[in-house]
Amino acid sequence: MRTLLWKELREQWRSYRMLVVAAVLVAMGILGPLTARYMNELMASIPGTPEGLEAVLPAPTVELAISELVDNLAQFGLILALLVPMAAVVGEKSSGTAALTLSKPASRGIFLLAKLLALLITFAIGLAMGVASGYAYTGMLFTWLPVQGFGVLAGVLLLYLLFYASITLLASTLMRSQLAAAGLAFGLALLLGIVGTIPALGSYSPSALLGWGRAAANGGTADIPWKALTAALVLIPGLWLVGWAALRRQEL
Amino acid sequence: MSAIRIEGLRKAFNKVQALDGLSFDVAPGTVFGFLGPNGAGKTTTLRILAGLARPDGGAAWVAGYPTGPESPARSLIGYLPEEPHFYAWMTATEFLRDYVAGLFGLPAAEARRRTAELLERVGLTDAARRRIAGYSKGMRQRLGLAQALINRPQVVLLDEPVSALDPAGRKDMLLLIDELRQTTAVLMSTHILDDVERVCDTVGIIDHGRMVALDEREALLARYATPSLEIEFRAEAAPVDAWAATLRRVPGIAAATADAAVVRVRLQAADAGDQKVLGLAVASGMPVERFEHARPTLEDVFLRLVGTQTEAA
Repeated sequence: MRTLLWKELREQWRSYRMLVVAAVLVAMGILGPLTARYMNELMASIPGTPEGLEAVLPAPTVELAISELVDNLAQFGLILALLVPMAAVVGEKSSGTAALTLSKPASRGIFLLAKLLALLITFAIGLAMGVASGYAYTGMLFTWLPVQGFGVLAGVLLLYLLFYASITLLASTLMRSQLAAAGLAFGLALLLGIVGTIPALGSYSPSALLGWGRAAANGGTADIPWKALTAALVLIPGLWLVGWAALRRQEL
Repeated sequence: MSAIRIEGLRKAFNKVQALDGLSFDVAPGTVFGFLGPNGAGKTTTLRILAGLARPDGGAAWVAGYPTGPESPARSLIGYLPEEPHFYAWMTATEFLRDYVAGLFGLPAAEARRRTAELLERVGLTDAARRRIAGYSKGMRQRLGLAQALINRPQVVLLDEPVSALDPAGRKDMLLLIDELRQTTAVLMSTHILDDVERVCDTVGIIDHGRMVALDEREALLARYATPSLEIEFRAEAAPVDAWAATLRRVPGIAAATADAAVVRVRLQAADAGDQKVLGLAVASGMPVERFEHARPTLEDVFLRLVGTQTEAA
């Protein structure tokens, strides 16, 4: 396990994936409070802007800054969670490196688990940096909020992104090309988004976690969305198990 | 106990029967030459032994363990695929010492020592700290052999191990394979029959997924190789070629091929025809430089057993 995880993390680093994830999430962390604070002034400074637009645009408040921060990190993080793992397994199968590794005494389940843990670490680092940037800019531009709330937000976002990364990892295990893996992962994410709009099922959707993170970052309290939390905590290992079962049957 | 035991292996890819009841054993401390035309089932057999593919029927064991994706046999195997692929961003040292040795659970000191030893043995010490992305095909094949040996395996599976090497590299690699027999059973698939003659104790010839010949090398040569003659003329290639063509029509002669001034003649039986061929050579009017019985080669055996099908394919 240690060897496979070392390889995965080293690969994330050498292929600049870890750097890209961190850079994107830091940029989004900064842009959230920045756009909330300066959007009105920016619009007003553009020549020809219709009068009264300022009244339509939301006032720059700390709540808006947190909302922008959460939306940015969740949306761009989701794109990263669909793109970063798409070649993780299918790329190794098609290049032949999976065959070389799995002819050694390495379990196929551990092979997949190492990839999932490497994604967890990559996104944890990226989100820690992104949320820290968001915290700093929110503090500088608005007001300093309790840091614990941002810790909860980072944890919630990590669970949210890891869920989608697990879907992509499964797609990468099942499919025969990177494009097909990305397509399947995107399709499943879209399906989950649609399912999330159904009232009876929405409370189980990972999107339901984001409200909790948003409230925590604002320094308030919100009920823990137990259904969504439980669903994510069950489905992430569940998706790994399905991937393992599929990989065990595959010939390399 | 056999190092490798295969019983009735069957494997089909769609409608193509890659293995059709293949059975054989490889004894410990021997080098087994696994021959066959393209598509005969050699690579499929090696992949099943390495736990990368599953048979549709039959079974295989390595050092007494059944093979499979999670088999403990994988700890005892060294496997070199036909075209080994590596993580191009790693250096050879990282790949061997940190990755492959780690997968086998070698202690750090042993991993360092074994890596240095193998890189030296396959001639990659100078390139050890270079990224594998910059390696030539031959260097990758040498690194592939090094990774197959890092765990001091009981069984080494080599799929075309010297196909990408230059003559010097090939000679060195064959010497290394020859040395392995002291501690290891080697199953080597190859198209290069000379290599099999040089290092293999036992030879198995597979065709259409079935073993068509299996024996110790010398016994196989004695059993299947037909008597051959070589006649060298002091003449131009054209008349020599024309004479070889007339010879093919002579009863008792299986084949006659001309290469410049040398004609190689394959007889149908040991006691049929060498005197007749000598007479015809003298009667041709061309001065005979050399007339001798040629040593039967594995190529003769191979062509006799699977040559017709190969040529047809």
